[in-house]
Amino acid sequence: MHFYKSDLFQYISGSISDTDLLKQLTELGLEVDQSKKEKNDLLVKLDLTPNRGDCFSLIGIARDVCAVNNLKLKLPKFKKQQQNLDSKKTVSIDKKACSNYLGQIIKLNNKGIIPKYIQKTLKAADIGQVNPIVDITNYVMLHTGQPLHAFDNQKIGKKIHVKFPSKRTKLKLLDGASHEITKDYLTISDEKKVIALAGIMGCANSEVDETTQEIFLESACFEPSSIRGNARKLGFQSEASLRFERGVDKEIQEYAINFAGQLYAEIFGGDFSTIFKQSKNHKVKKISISKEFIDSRLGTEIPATKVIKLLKALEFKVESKRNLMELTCPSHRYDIEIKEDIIEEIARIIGYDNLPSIRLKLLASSPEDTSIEKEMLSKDIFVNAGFNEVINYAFVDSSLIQMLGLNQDSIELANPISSNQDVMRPSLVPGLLNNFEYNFNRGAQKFRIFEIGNVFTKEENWKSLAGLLFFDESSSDWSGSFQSSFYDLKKIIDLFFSRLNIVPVYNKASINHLHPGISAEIKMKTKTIGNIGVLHPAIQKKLKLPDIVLFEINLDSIKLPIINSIVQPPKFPGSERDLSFLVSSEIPANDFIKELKKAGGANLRSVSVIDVYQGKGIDESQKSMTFRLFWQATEATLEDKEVDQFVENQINHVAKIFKAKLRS
Amino acid sequence: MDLAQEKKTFFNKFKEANSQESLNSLKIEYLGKKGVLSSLMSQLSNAPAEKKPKLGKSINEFKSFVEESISSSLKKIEQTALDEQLSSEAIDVSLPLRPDVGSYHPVSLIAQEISNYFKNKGYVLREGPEIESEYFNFSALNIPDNHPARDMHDTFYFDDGNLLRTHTSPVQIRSMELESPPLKILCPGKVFRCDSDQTHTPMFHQVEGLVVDKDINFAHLKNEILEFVESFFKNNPKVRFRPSYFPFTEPSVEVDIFGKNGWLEIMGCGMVHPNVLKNVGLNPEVYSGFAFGMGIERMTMLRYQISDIRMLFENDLRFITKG
Repeated sequence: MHFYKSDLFQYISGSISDTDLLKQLTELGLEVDQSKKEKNDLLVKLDLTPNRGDCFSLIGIARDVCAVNNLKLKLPKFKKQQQNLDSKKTVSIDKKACSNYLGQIIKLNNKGIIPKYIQKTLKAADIGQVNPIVDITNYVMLHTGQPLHAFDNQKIGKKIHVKFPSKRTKLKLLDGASHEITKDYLTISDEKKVIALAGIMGCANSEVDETTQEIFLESACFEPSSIRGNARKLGFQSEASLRFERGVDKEIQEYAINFAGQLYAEIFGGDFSTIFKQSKNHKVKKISISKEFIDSRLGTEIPATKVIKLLKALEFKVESKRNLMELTCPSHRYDIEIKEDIIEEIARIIGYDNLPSIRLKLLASSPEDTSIEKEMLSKDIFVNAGFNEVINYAFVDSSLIQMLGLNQDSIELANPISSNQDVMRPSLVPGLLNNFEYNFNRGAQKFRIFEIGNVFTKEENWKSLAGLLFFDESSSDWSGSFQSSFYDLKKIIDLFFSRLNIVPVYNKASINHLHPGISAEIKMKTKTIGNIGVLHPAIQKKLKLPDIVLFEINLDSIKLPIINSIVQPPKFPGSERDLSFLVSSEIPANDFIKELKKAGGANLRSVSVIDVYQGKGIDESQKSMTFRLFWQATEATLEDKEVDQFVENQINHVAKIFKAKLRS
Repeated sequence: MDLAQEKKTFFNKFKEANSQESLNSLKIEYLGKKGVLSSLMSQLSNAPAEKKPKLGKSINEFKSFVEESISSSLKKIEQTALDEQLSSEAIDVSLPLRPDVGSYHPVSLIAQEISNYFKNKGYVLREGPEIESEYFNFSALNIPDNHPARDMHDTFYFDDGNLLRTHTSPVQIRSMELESPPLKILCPGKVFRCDSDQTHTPMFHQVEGLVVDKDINFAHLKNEILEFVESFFKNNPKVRFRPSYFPFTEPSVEVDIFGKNGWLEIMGCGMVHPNVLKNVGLNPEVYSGFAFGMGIERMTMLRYQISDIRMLFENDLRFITKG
């Protein structure tokens, strides 16, 4: 709602400085978005909340300003015009959708010229001048909040119906656009045709223009429920629908039609018919509230007399009955329905800054959400490992998903913001690749990035953790730096799992977007919880990217807390042995270690790989692996003989299982 | 026994001995079991009785002298060797390194700061799904179908009628359905609105607090907000509470702080609307509550003086690692 201060003060007996007015409007909940000094006036632009439909009018705003300043509202009275035009109309209304309908035929005797003061008001409100007939309806609407509509009376029939159509209907609106409307649209119709979409816009078939000599002026109250959403469904909002959706004063129709009548008489010199009227009795809203309830919700001690004075200033009728105040709501406050609304009115007029503040002593009793804890812990681990956190949009390009061969069950958005953000991400990988590309193209040479976020498929959603590692060797400095091999990333993933007390297993696997020879699925016990590997060379080529290593882990599959008991280390010295085996290069180290452990007895504490060798001196199909084995007993020092026995068992065992040979 | 001659001989040998080895062999020669000094001692028994004490004393003095001379010389040599080692091992400590410093995304940092603040005040963190139903995102929060308030949310929809949550408020409903009062929760998370310009991105983060119990009033809410603002904005800015409208709170208030360019909106809050309490089976005559919510990006932009919200999601490493 945009207006000039001078227009507003037609209704206020008293004066307020510009600064105070702007401050007060915002503090009343009528937020000043912009204001501008212009000549001797002040242009004010309000950003109104949907509940204050009453303030889409100068009178409505004036009411609030008067209430907070204890000033009197000046409402001019408009007399009915002399009704000497003998024309007939009948009106029927759908009482559920329309509570009040007034119409008057006005014969326009002269060509009208819109005076400057009306032009100024319309311009302030960003409503352009259309033609003198329509300009008057808009002017009255800006003052009263009542949308009026003028039909060319010669283009419509004798019977006016406010009704829902019985079938789908095609129509052309005033803005020239054609629409097909369903039975949900309330219409104004005559005997033959729809002449307006009630509360939204008139139809082209009854439009007024320069040649119009007689108008049928409508001033009606349509229920918000019959208007809401309909304009939006057609793809626009009109000044009328804006107001009807929010609720228009049920008692202002006559005032508005007489206000307009006076202007038509002044500007056109009109002859007027009687006012044709149909209405139903509307219920006056009543609310009972006690001082105790007000104080209990605001934490205040406000005297009842102050409350009553304040509500009366807002045009509530107040009757005191024992401890209760019986309030009758003013008809223009469509938004007031319950006790809490009254509390807001009181707080608003007193001013929130003038209300007390009290420290809350309540403590919560419910347990933490471990999912958030897990996310925080994961972030800490990766940041400490030198990773930079990124945050990507949750929607990605479906063609990228397809190219990466990621889950095909991604969920499509019905109304994506752009075609390259059309599906919910089934993985964090596409986002990380985008981040890589963006930064790589801007000269970044080192990458350790990670993200934690939800991913989505048609079957389920889960919280995912993913990261990417890249290091451009040529950017290495004198100290060397991190590398970007599979094993460099694996080391970090192991670090992550060890912080969570999890021992993961890496099994070679085929994952669409990863290099089939340099990738693994990560398993916890028997459950696959993620993957790690080098980006598939074919994808790399298509995206023109260098070698990068990636991982992704399903965080939801890890349950916190995982608590291990801490065991006291044995006091007796242990024995260490190094063993080298020749074995087929196909055998995964992890399988080999498993078998060494099986045959190594209960006191075998650790097996580590200290060397892997393939090449000169060894058959091409073979590799040499050197293990360091460590035994230690809890009750006594192990004797060499005992350890020798374990070693012999192991050598025999792996010879049988893997055909492994001990290297001398 | 010619002690003077012995001393002279030692002097000469000691002068020659300037390595660790020669000093050690000198030590053995003089102080060893079969060394010069023990042979001198054994010769003492042959000396006349009246000369014994004096001679004995002289031998002992000579022994101490040998011991001290050799050990101090040894120490000197060790010190020189250590000095040489230290100076040869010296490095250029000024050589610059490029540590692989990890970083939290600025939005994460601010979300964590806000979460930690409220956790310390006894709030419990809660999460909810990002794909929501109409019921949890709108209806349960007292936003009926076609209500103009839905215009405030440009919603992303799916074909099955579900939607991307437009605020974190559905978590309020889910929490109140699962737990009974007293309730004191904080819900951080991603939210989505179909909008993009300098101050809007189609995805952003909110954090929302909810307290429900008997006798919760607006004064409690006001205090909670004032204390938070004081903690978050270190310069203790002026705070303004301004009436506003949210369908799920009544009264509804917007909180502004006074900044360089005038008043700046930082969050919305209010008393939980009785319809919302009724929707989760709580009697609004018995229970009351307050809720507050803020945009994390907005707080991040204020903290780091960022003017374009979209920068936060470009993930330019030169930018997001500087939080």
